[in-house]
Amino acid sequence: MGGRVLLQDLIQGVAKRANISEQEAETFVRTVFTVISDTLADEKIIKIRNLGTFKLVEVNDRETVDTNTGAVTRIKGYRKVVFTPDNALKDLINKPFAQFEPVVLNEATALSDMERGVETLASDDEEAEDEEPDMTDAEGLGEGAEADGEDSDSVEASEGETVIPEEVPVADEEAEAFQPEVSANDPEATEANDAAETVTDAAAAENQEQEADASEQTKETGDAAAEPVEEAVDGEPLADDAELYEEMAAANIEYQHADYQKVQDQKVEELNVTTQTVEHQTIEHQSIVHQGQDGNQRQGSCLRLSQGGMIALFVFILALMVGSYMAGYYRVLCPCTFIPEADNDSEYLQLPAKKDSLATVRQFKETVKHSVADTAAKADAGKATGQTAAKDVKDEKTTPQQSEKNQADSLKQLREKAAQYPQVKNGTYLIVGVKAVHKLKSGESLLRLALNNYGSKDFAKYIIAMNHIKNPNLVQVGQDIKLPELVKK
Amino acid sequence: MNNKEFVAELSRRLGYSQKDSSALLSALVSEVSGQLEEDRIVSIQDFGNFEVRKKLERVVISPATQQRMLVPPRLVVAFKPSTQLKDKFNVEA
Repeated sequence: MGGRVLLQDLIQGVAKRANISEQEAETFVRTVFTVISDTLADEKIIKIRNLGTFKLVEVNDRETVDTNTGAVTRIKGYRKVVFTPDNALKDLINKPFAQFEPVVLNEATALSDMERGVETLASDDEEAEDEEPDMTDAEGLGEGAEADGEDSDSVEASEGETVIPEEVPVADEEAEAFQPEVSANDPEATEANDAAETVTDAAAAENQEQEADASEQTKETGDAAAEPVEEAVDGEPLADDAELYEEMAAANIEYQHADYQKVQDQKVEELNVTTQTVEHQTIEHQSIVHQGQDGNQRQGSCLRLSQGGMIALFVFILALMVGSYMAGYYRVLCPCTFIPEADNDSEYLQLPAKKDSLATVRQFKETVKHSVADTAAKADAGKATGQTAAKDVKDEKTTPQQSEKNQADSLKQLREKAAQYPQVKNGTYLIVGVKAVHKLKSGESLLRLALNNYGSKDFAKYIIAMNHIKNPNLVQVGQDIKLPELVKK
Repeated sequence: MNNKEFVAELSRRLGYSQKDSSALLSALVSEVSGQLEEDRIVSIQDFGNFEVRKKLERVVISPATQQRMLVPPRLVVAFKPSTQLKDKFNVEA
């Protein structure tokens, strides 16, 4: 609360705003309020632009029953001043909460916070019950006694007193939100109480019933709490409940022909709701703080969860991107599919060459094994066999030297051989012989032959040259194709 | 009585022109609403108190669609008439 502004402060403010002396401002402000109260007495309604409407509402006599004694007491009717703020003022005051809008809740939404609020509400009701007798006393003694209660700043009394009449329009507004037709008639409903006998309109009755329904349903949200309140309402009417009971009495007259009992029940329920909402207010002041915190926490955890999920998703997408990128590279680098320049065929003959070397290595091993076996067999022979083993090793050592010489020799031989076969111009390989003869089957092509036998389609040109094929696109099934033995130049 | 009639009544009583009293009235109204906006209780002796109350958020069920709605919290202006004002209307009754 920002404190209290008294009439004097108001006068000073007005004087400043309007550039007039404080004395003038004071007479003006005082006149304004006396005029308002005078007009209310005369005309019962006064509208002030940008502020609101003051209305004088007549509250009829009503009867109440004391729950403890069962005694019926009659509360005399009175008039009360009702203030309805102008829309401009409403919006101005509600500015901090203006961004909020009603939200439709899902079926699954947990209302644990709400339930907690309701529980505390029940206990508060008991408290309220304790305090209510004081108020009824005040009521019994008349308005003067009530005034004393106010002056002594009995918080409960003043709270309850003003809140409830205002809660009634709130309940009306609730209905308004969903049933515009009903809301339109709400003011009528209160006015109907002023002149209860004159209004026998069936439509009005219906509206009130609907209104009651609406509040009944709101009541469901805090059903548990409602029952203790019911007791309180029945037996110990609040000072303001008296007003509502007046309404009820009026309603009863109206409904003499209608379903009397039913309407009364509904009215009682309506009362429950209003008192309940009042209690709600006080609790909500306390609970709003932790509700807000809970909300924040929930939001926070949601955020954290979603953040984790987002990170995981991001990483996954990144991995996918990297994977696809690398897959592309792998495809490019893959020797099987890499299509080299015609001059760079060299890599491809290495494939068979490697196989050859593997084969020679295997042969070597076999010979070694054999020799080992031999040595085992000739273990008796002693030194002699050791010498032979040594010789074997020597032989092995000499073979590389020999092979170098052989290679030089074979190059010469190969060139001679190559002369016998047709050659490919500018090729990196020489055709030195016939490796194999392949009979073409259906579905085969020279390119595929080259791919299968040499590892690349580029070797097709050697096959074409070898077989003197004029049109490589036209080969017969069953044709014998010589596969050339190739040697690098 | 509407605003126009009210201004006319004011100027009749005070002897101001209608324009002046209208300007003064709007100054007073904006002063009051300005104070309320800052969450202060405006209490006028022999008339009543204006104050801002917070209505908390609550769940309501639409009777037509059975939808549950969360109504947001809001601030409302409340007027509590003083006992003098109440008595004024109830003495003769």
